[in-house]
Amino acid sequence: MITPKIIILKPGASEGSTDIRDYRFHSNFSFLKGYYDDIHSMTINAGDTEKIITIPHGLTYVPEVDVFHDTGSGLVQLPYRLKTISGFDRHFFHSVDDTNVYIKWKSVIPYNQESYDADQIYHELDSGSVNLLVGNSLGNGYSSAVRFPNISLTRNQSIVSARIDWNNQISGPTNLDTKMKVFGLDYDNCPDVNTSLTRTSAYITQQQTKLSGTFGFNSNVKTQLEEIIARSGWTSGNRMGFTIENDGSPTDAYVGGTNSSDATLVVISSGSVTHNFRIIIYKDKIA
Amino acid sequence: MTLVPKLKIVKSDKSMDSTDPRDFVYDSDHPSIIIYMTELREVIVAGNSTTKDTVYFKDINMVNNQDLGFYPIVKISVELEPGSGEYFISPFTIDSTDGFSINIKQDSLSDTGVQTDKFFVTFKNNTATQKTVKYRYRVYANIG
Repeated sequence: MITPKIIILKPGASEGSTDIRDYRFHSNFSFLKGYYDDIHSMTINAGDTEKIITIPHGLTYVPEVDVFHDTGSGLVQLPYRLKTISGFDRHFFHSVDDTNVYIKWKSVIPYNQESYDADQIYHELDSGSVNLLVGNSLGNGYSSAVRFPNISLTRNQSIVSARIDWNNQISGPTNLDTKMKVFGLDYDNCPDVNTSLTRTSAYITQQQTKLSGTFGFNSNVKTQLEEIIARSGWTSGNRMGFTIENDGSPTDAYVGGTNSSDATLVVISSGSVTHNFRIIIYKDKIA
Repeated sequence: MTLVPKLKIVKSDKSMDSTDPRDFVYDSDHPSIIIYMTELREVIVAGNSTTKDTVYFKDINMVNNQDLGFYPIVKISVELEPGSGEYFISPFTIDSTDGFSINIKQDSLSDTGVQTDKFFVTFKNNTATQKTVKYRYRVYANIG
């Protein structure tokens, strides 16, 4: 059987050259064959850490695919990683199987989440300490207060959630629960914290079971935070405070008291973002 | 005067004299990208180990190894989870903490790269069990 060929040499090139650069055309090699070219959108909502859009390609094999992210200032080819000024990573990448093309977004930090480390923690048993202590120690009830600086939220900004992560805590010796109330501190710009400051009307009650070793727990402070940022004098960049108070805990039911304890305010703001992707599928097979 | 051979295939509703490359199915005046070499390969990577796979470029007859004289574009798609049928396109920005067991190593220039006569890629298996990884490479070249 004779296999027809089309070969065009460049001027001056030798017939039979094995160098591809000597040819204008050589039918032994195939061009990339376009099959599909379209735009698809991905919407990432507040709190998301992963997002996938699925595009059926209608082929029965794994095709070659290129995906470009329309950043608004140009097309950027996937995969790539976004390194933010906060130091965490966000990935855009894609994959393909014999049915679909998948465009994926993955982030270590939930979308629209900001975290603030406490700059002050106060407790009543030792006002010079910088640790949390809440509950009942040796028959006496103790409460604590905490402050977070440079809160970026604007006045009345819509939020999805807010919590305080109380990290590196220990429990009191009893097996009974520690009972607590968590208030906001009702100030435009929270001063040095103690447990005598004016509290928000919003609060939550919660109980913490005794756990062995060092552990963390968290408090939902969404309503308290919303009350603070609704204040007429609230401004982005201000400090925000909270109290975590004993609420009738039984003797020796407490959390805190370790020198390594710390607190972080974690807020997810409302909002979403839509990204557009240009997807080019070739007929050529990957597998 | 030297005659320069040309090959042009114009789209049905376009003019042969058009200066817009999009009007041509093929135009030898504009270099086109061809798939010079492609292959679906399998690489065995022992547990908690790396395997470097090297592919030498061939002449146009695909017989002898040949230095191409230029650095070609090489694209690689890898079935990161063996048997999944899902191929990811390199370079991978996902590291093992995201759950993938095998990645192209990126921490050393001598592990993964393209030269004029070959390319090489190093697979890293972060699990204790041996993996057989499929990957497709494509070596592109300009012609025209």
